Amino acid sequence: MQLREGKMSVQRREIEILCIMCPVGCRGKIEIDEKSNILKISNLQCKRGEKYVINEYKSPVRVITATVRTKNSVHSLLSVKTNKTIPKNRIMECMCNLAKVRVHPPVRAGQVLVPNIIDTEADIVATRDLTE
Amino acid sequence: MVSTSNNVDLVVIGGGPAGLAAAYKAKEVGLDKVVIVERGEELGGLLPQCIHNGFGLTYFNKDMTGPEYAQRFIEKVSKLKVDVFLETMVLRLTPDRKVTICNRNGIRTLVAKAVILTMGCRERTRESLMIPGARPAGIFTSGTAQRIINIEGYLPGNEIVILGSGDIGMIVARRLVLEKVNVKAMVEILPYVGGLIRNQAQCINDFEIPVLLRHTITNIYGMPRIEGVTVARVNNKRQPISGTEKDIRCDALLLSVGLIPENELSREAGIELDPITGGPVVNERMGTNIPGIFSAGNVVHINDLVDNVTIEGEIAGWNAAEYTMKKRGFTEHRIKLRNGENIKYVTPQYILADTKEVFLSMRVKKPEENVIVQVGDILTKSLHAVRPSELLRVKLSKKELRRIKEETSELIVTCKKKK
Repeated sequence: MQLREGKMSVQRREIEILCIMCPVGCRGKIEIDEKSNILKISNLQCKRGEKYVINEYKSPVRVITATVRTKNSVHSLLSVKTNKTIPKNRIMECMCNLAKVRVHPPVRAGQVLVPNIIDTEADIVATRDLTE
Repeated sequence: MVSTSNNVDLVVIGGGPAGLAAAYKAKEVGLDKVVIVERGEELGGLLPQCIHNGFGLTYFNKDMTGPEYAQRFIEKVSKLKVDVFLETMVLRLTPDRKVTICNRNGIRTLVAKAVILTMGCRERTRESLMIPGARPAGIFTSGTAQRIINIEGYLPGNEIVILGSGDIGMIVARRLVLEKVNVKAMVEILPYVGGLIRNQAQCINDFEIPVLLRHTITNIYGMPRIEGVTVARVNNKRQPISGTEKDIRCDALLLSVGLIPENELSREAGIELDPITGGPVVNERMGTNIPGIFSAGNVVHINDLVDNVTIEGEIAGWNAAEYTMKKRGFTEHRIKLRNGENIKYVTPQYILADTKEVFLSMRVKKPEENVIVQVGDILTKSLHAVRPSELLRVKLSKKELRRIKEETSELIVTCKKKK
């Protein structure tokens, strides 16, 4: 709260979140107060969009897809993913962790390579076989 | 098991998702000798390098990565004992379905009862855009960069500029940022981003990649390796505006400026091509103008979801098998679908209207909100929004197909804004 010229003004911010629910691509606007509570949602054409945008604001999560280096393999890399979403703000931390991982054949698609990566409850799993 | 006889039932040219779907479906329907000829080292086409997710959402109701999606069909093809020739190039296809192939074992000519063209597409290059400037090392198409990063294990550079905001460019931009590469700018000539909204949100917005809309690259400099590009704002005629030039230093330039169906073989065989899609003119059975030659996937038109490519491949496979076993021609082009207002193209370009349902795939020319898509006088569909980058699929059910009058020879497809 700022006191200015005898009036009280509350800090507000407006955040724009692009909705991906349909090809319109509404740019949802969320007005939040200084405690990051949602005051108002606007510029969305449907309820699906509102639900998505609120979720995106409150706890954005993503599935991470990447590659890990191999050992003793004719292939240089193995494609992997998290088998659950992880918080969006921990993506780069997850990537730094994956840089240290080395896998060697044989690996089956779906096999857990790193359980519970950086304590997110998501496992890193192989997305293809590595047979040689 | 490699077939020693040159007489086969079906040759599928290209072992990506379209070819895999066509081959397994033909086998399921009952064809005996089905061969996939694939020039790469493995099946799957582009899927093995598409390590990101978003595949299989409609077909499997799952969110899969490219390799996972490919694996499903590679396993199907293997279980059904389809013959697969890897690292094998098709040199020539003739109208009477002789397929000349070449690999380490030499050259052979297969004689097929039916052929399915599923060669996919390639990327538009710097040369075809005629970007002025030096011709140094460090200029890649985004798909090539994707292969280099995800399969070979190298980075194309450390300071990247991307030209074009197509899906591949956005996906690769995200991949690069995840590998701690500095993606300095995405340069887009149109006033809006080109690819799927999902990619705009999860690649560009998530990682705050700077996008320069209404800009283009007017110069490339640096030798022997690229050192930078000059970007300029463009006017409404997409011409660079003098005085707005800005240099951006980079050690790699990636291009995401369009995909072109790869139809050299089709052209040489005398297949009729549509100049707008760049692919064969087909009917709803995926038949071309030549009896026994069918086509599916990106070689017909550039798709946006692999799930639809699979469905197209299955239709081609099923009909190629029907053709082989019952000798139905499928070359009759009864009703032409004409591109009307705001429609860039529709496939299939012709329909026979003798099946229980037909799926039309179309793209609009300009983005628009609150529209009505109309197919002649037989179907009207209301849509919230349309964009050129998102393929529209419209189903003509039996009810709609029955509305086609006997004397109808064409249906005009339009996409108009609601009044």
